[in-house]
Amino acid sequence: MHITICHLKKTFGSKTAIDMESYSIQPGEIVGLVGNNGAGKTTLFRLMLDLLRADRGTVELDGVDVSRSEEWKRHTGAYIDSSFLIDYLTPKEYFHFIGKMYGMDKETTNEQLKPFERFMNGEIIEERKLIRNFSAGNQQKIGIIAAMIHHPKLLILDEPFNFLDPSSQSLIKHLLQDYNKHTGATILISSHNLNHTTDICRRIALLEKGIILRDLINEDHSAEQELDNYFNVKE
Amino acid sequence: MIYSILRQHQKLASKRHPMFERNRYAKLITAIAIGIGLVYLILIGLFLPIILHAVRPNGEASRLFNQGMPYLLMLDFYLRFLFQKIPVQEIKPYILLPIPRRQLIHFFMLRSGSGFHNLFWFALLIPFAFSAILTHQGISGVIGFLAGYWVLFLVNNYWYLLCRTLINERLVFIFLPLVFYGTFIAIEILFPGNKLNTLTLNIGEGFISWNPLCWAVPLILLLSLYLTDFYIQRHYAGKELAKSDSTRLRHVSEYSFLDRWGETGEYIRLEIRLRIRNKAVRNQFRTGIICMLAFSILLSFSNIYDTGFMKNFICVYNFAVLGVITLVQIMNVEGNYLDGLISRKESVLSLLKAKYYFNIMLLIIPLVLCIPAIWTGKITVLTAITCLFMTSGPIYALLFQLAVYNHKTFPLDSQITGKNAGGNSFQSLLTGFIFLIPILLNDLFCWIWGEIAGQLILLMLGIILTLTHPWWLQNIYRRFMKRRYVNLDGFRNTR
Repeated sequence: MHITICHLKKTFGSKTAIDMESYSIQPGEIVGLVGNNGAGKTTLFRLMLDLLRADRGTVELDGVDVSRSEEWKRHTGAYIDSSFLIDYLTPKEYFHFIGKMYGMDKETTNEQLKPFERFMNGEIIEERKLIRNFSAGNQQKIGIIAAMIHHPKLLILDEPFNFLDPSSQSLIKHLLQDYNKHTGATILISSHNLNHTTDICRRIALLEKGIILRDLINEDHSAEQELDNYFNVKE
Repeated sequence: MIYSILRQHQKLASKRHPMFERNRYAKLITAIAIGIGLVYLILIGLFLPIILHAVRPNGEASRLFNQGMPYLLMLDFYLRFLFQKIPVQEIKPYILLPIPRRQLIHFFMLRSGSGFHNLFWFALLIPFAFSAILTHQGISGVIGFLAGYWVLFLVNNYWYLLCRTLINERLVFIFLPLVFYGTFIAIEILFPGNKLNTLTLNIGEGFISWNPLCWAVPLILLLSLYLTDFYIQRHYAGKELAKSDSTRLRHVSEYSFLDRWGETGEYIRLEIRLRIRNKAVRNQFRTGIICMLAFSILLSFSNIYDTGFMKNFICVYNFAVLGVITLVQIMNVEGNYLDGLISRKESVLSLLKAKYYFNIMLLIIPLVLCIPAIWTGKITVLTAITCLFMTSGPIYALLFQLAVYNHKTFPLDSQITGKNAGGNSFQSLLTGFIFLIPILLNDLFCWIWGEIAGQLILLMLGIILTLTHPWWLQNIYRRFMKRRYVNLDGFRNTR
């Protein structure tokens, strides 16, 4: 999916959260957003998903302004935080519910869950436990899987490595790379973990106070040094 | 020091709440309504001694008034149930601060005791005391009478807090006030010439004459209730905050019959699970069912409300009460996970449809419950059917409008410490409006065209609005989507 951002601005009171003149992401790219707290990563995702009103400017997905149509929602998957989860359902019920929203029956949904079996580590799908009773890490896994279950053309994940154990962090990296390779989907992730971001993203946008400070091409970890220089505070 | 900071926080919480602007207008209208009510009470207070003297020329007005004390306290308790919040709902943000928990609970409880709501009935009592007591017992009698009743209202305040906290925890505790006040009524009905009147008369007279024994009883009661309340609220607040629920479901029902309804069926399934698996929502639903049962029983087996207006009122209430109790918070529950829903195409429209069909299905319960009333000839089949369609049509159409404007997340599972467990003035106002309009329309139409023709017109109105639900639900959805940024912001801020 092709993403075009034009003259996008969002302020909260006197604070500018996002101020982007123009930014474009090509179909099939894996883009990482990095930046310190308050840089505007989550705000940008919310604007892309039409969960926030922009003060001015547009986000277009395949040429469609997200605030003027709902058609793009069929081809988009996202997980921002636990407010995306219906926590009084069991994970299985939740996946079936999400599946139904995209026109899938239970059998198809179960089939779509198979690639995630290792990621779920036998702790999620067979449990007769409500989502709210799972650990933060397992809730994160449920949210990520629900975002990917219908094979979206655009996948947006905010801090996907948060709360996950090291094995699961490694697994999700491989899952995302495989998913991108096999479906050609555009993937956007934000993270504070620079190693993971440089491992999987071929392009990295460095955000500061809502502005894209650097748009880095990351071939063979080439962006690592520049990010290191930016984030490492010297006395 | 800490008390003044907490008091300041209470003011800021109200002022900075996302519903502040809307609540301000609703509060203005509510204030006007309360103002009119107060004027009525003052007038009643002024003329009551004359009326009581006319009823019993030999008795002093204050003695007769004191005999009716339990009924005044009953009414006071009922009004508290409608409007008063329990204080420990506000304790959560402070619980981890280095402030002793007991100090916090004392603050919120003392604030509840010192509130102006405990002086509401003084609009009636002050003019009554000056016109009925001043001439006989002098100013000390007036002060004794007013102070005594103030203590009784404080007792009622802490009794209410105790009952409400326990009811929030377990609905079975609703029997506590029902049995307590029911006993008064039962004694009055079953034992004419009982000594209950004499007891309350003596207490009231004891206040006026400053009899220490008569003062000691309510004061000891007040202290005992305060302390009991304190321990109960501390226990439940602590219990809820420390709760860690990792239980597994024993049985997971698929409700597979809903599969044939597609996406709407999936949302109806969600509605069912929402009510079964979330404590706050479940209790709200149970309260609605209990109210519905109570009104059905009143309608079918009691003749105390057999006047035309009250009968219509009870009949409309019977059908609408469950919907009003649950739908007045429409979308507030979904505020917990609306970001996830709205990022899927037209999912909110399916949700609204599911909510409508689910509530329509529930209308079968009051229809069945009012069969005895139809059988005994208290209401006609036409009245029952009219009330059913008035509920599924205009009343639901009005209640669903709140889906556009509600933007305050309702806690799913917490009872005691949930931030937004209570409603707001705007919702209270709409609820009052919803109950009055069908009855006023019914009375108006019956007055103009006669009873049967009037009810037939209302029935037609109900059927039209029921059949056109896809259109008005679509309209609500479109308006909801127009306001989505404001609503999402409100839900996020109150999560």
